[in-house]
Amino acid sequence: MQLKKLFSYMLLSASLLTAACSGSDEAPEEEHFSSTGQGVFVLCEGNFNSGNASLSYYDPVTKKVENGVFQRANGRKLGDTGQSIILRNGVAYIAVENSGIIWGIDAETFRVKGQVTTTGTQIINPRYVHFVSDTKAYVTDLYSPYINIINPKTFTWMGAIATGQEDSRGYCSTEEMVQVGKYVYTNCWSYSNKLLVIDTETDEMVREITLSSWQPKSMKADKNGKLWVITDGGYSMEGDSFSDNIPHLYRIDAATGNVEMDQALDSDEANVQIEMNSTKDVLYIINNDIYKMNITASHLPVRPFIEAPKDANGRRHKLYGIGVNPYNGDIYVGDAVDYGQSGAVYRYDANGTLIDQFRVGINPNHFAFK
Amino acid sequence: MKKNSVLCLLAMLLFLTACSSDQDGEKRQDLLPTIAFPVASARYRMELGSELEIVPRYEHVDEHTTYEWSMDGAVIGTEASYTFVAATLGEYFIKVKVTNAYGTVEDELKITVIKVDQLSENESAEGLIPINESMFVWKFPWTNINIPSGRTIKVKAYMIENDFDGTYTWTLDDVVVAGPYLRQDVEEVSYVFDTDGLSQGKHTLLLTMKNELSEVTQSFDIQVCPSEGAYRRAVLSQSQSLVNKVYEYMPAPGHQVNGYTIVGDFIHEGATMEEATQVALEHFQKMWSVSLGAQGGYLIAGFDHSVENSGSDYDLVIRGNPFSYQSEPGIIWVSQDVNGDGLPNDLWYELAGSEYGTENCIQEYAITYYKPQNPRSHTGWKDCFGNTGIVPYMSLWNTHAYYWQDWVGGTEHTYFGTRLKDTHTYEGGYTMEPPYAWGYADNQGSDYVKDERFDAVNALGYYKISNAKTWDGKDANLQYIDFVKVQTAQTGYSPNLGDISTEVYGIWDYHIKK
Repeated sequence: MQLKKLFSYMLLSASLLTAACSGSDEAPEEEHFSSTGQGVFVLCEGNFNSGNASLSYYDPVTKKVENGVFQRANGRKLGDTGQSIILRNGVAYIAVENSGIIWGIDAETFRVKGQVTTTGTQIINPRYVHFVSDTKAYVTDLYSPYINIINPKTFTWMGAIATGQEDSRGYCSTEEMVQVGKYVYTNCWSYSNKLLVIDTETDEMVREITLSSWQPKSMKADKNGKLWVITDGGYSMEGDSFSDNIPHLYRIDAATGNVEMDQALDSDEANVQIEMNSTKDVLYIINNDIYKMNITASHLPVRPFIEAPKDANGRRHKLYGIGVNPYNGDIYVGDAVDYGQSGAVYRYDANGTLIDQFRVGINPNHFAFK
Repeated sequence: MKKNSVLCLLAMLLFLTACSSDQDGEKRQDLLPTIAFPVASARYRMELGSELEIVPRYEHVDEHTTYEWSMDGAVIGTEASYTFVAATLGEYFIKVKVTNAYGTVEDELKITVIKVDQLSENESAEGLIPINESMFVWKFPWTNINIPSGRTIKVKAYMIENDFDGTYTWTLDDVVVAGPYLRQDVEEVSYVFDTDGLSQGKHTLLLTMKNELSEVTQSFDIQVCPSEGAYRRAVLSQSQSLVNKVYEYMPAPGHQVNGYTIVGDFIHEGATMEEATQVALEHFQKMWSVSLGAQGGYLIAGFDHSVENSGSDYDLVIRGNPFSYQSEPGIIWVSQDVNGDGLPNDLWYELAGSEYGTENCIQEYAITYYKPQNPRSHTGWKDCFGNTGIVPYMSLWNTHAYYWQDWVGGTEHTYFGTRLKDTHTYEGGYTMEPPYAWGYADNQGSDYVKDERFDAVNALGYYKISNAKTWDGKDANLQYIDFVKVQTAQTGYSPNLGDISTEVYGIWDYHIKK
């Protein structure tokens, strides 16, 4: 869920809620899937407060897409606002934020293997899962002043790391996580300008890094131990704004926390995101369009690598998620179109040539490659 | 740099000749121009109707470098900078192509022209219009000085940027003495401080720049001291001919700065100025080299007595390592301790050499070096005329990450002084650095001769205090001096020998030495 769009979501969801509620009580059938190839999961966020998050599965060889596979395989809904999906040992972990759930599903059958349950508000609004080991994972949260620790094998809660962050407009956000050596770095997105550093041996926060712009949204680490962070710069909409809505791109030395590069990008209309190729030397960045940058370049190229499609009125589609297939470098771009209708996914090769495109659920935002 | 011995140089030349073509290719690649836009992301946002001069920082460029700015395939400029007028809303992509002897590189920027109300309130503060393109800047060689009664000194603002039609006003001891005036209405923003009619003691001179955005004031404390002679120190039986203290060692970047392959680390990493000056003095005591780095780099030393101006004979001896084909001249400055505090914080006088007053000599010169952002990179510079260039990174001579001494600190540093025209040539792999006629340190001129009383092997440079000039080119007629400053005079580098940098092996009082 994009914070800057919160209010428009609420309006949308009010109208969609009726539709979502009606006709959804039929006894579901459970389909049997057996997807053994190197397929791609596409998580579709759905609309906030609408309970219409969904999961699609795409086979790059046959170019066949199956939509709504979670519900089809399990006979129940995925939940409200699917935020992230990550694979580990044949299990896909899906954080469904507004439902407060982390599902674990079998990556071949899509059947639920487990669900992280916590008491009270230990996990409020899970955003991302990061595996420290097979038996220890961190879970970030939009509202909680803790990063929760779970055992992904047993789906049990193990503890929590205090982030020391004060509530900001009701949020206490931690977001994506990357690990360099024994330290995990996370970006505090909502109404914050911090990165936090966590020692995975002691499960304690050891340091904060403060950025010059607001709302670090996405972060990756390159092969040289540098963190690449993009902020969305806040938001600006009718009746409300926060900061200047100018995203910044940073390169930060993970070891020292020194900001080595700080570049102001174009004012963003949708969702900023960073993805990296498997050799961790090329960045793909969503900033309205898709940009491609070598980690040694002095600045993000001014011309897009892939341009966002435009509608009949010349309005740019909202590019919402990006993933790079680690096996062949193919680039998957999630197109939310206008946030209201079924989204689309475009698949490009590493040179930016379109290979395939297909429709998925609402607001495709995250990819996982088997 | 120069040989530490002919053998050493020969060995290096042989090594260079033996380099494979691959290495040559790599070297050339390494010397291609680089382009850095003041807005790091190359994304500019401009208000409709505004104008912006885009001045990228280049490396590996010189007067032979060509520039080409283009938009949609059409050439729109051929200067180092380009001024864009935001006449119509929209996005504009502008390419700049830079060509030097080693090849061409290009980069592209984007300008988005927007309506005024689309700019957020804090946008300029957030750095979209970069600070270094909008912030007022001026530079001064000093802000505190001691000057003897009867002398004058010119106080001048260097490298002024972004004053936006500001006016300048000089105030001396609370009385406006010049201005307000616009910079374009005067040749330079300067004021001649004349001790005539002023009491001894401290006087405060203020320079204020005022424009619609801001008012900035720089204060200068000028101490009017007794006329020369009050603190003259006699030569005693124990007085030594060699300088007894190095007060400041401020090398500009160079390949013998912060390490040197041939002799190893000169001064350990993390050294302070105090430690550095002590090492420099120890080098002088052993007649070893101290490199001043590229143009502007300097060293200030002093004697345990005042050195007499003999009138017509030589007074100072400075050893360098020049050859007739390889001279790296340094300007020599002298000063008297007019307030008697034992520190070189007094008026300086340039010793005129053969080029003084000719077109080969640029006085009141200022040059800023920028510490590279990345290790093992060339060091860029920009001078008071807007010229830019580099001090090359040459791992053959020095493998340290930065040619920047720790005690210099910061990410940029400006040196002030006199520049001599670069005379070096490089042809067929051979560098020629011819000397000027006379009057410069580390320069094989007529005054750099062998005197077997001192040194049976090497020659030494001989200099006259009687050549000292005031800032306005008159004979200074100093009776004596206490301090000497030597400063690298030329910019430039050759592909095989690196930057032109004056070396000093010692400074002596000729009258005691002989």
